[in-house]
Amino acid sequence: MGDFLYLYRGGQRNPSPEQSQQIMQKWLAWMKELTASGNLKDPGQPLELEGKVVKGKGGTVTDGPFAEAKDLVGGFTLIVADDLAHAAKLAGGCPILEVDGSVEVRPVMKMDM
Amino acid sequence: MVAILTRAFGLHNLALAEDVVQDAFCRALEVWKLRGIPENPSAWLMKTAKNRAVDVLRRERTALTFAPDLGRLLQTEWTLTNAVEEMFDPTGIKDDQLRMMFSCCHPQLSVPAQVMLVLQLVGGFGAREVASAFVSSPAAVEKRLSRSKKTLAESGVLFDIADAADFALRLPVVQRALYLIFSEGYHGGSAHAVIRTDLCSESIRLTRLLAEHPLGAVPSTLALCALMYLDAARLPARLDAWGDLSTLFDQDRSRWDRGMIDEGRACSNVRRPAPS
Repeated sequence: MGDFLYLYRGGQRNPSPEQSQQIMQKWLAWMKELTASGNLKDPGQPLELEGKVVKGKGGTVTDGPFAEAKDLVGGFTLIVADDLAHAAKLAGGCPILEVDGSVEVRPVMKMDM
Repeated sequence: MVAILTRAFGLHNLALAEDVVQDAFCRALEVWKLRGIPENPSAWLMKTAKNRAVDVLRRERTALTFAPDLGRLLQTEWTLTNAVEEMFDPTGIKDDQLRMMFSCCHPQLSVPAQVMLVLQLVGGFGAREVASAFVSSPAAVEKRLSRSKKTLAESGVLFDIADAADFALRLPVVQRALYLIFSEGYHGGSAHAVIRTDLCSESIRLTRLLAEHPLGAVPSTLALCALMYLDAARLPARLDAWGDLSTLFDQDRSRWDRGMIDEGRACSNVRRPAPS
């Protein structure tokens, strides 16, 4: 068992009122499933689409990242699962997949001694 | 919310007001889909819209002109946030809605356009919902709304509901628009819903708003209110078991909404002091 981070990319940010209703229902249902199965550790947060990139020894700050909409991370969720395969399987239910988005699944490094 | 923001930004910035509201809804979707729907969704939306409004006012104060009477208040940071805070105060909201309602019933707009604007800007109906009320396509309605909003924005300032003479002059126009909305809900022409209770409730809500304002509480408004309540009271019994309209004669009167009947009676019984 371990912790896994879901990083959401893509999906629609400006749906119509009818679509919004459907999207909301699907996400609430998926989150509910994950909670019921005991896999949801932290629902996470959505992220604003603007940002800065700080780089280099001097800590230079530039606007960015100017990734394509589909590549920009829009939010995250923390999951508890048996292993990476399990975590990826659970991500298969994410509604973002239906609207051309993707979920990056990353294991959190285990810290137990 | 559009009504409150238009008050802050000025009628010429109507589109901006709508953008801020749209933005609040988009944010709601992004946050609620992960964190769940909050206990008080409308309070959350109001707060979000308010924060965005402050951002816009702060950011754009050099680039845009806002409502004329706000000018000085926007100059300093402290008065800005206070001014917006006050604007979102619940006690002022009814006035903002009335102001918007009267503004929508602009003489330069056709009656259907007025009704559509009231439904969208005061009632918060989406283009699709307005379209189904008018037996028209969402695309046609969008176009019409867009043109009407432009006319409205160009008219300069929001209607002054404190001006008794102007108020009295435009009152019949507003009453007619509200009656048309009710009528549409009561026996609409839409294919998929003979009765539209949402239109009936919205028109009742707005007529009540009108009746609660000192200048609006005239016999004609109260009579309209009473009529709507008494008609709406019969809605639960209007459709028979097969979903067809039943005549007054055939209706099961026990299904009539007693609460609404009482409200209707109360409206028609209001005694105004005789004018001096």
